[in-house]
Amino acid sequence: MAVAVDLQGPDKPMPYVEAAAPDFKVVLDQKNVLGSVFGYRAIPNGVFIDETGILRFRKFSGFDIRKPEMAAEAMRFVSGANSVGLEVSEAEASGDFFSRGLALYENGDIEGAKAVWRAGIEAEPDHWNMRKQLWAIEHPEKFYDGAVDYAWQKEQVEQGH
Amino acid sequence: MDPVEIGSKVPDVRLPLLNGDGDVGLADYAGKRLIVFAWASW
Repeated sequence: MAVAVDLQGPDKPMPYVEAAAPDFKVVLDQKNVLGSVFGYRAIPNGVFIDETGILRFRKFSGFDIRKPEMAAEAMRFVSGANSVGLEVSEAEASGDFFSRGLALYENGDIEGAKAVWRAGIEAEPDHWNMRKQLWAIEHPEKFYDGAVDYAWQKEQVEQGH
Repeated sequence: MDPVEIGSKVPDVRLPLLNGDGDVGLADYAGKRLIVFAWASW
């Protein structure tokens, strides 16, 4: 199952899903519910859950199934293995800045939401979900006019934004 | 809510399908092994 973490709704992630045409379900997590459940503050993430609903593995920020070692581990897991050979990332609980900003955003107070998220980014500088969501709202042209401008994102980080 | 730890039960969370055609819960995969991949357009 894939989870599109995008508070702006289905329109932004949909083109990518249509292009990929996956044969598994894709859900939308506008409120970062799974971020709270699993404790992640950035993407891409991989979480393995066994047949009894037990969490067996998590990899936050950097999970890439195209990497041979991750694909191999995923195959081992679906084949029945519970031990995971990859390094397990530690979950970090997130503050509530994201949720408070989201509540304002959903009520139409965009400027209020942005202010809360800016404060949240100062308090939690490695909360990349919050930082990138703010960037995407303030600079949509860097995300949705063709390819995502990762060079621009790198500049923002270098400039401390 | 504290994050789920390795070895602990994952709560049943339901989320809407991206295409708007209903929703899906983690418990819907009971009896099966599930890989959840979180990504974003940004």
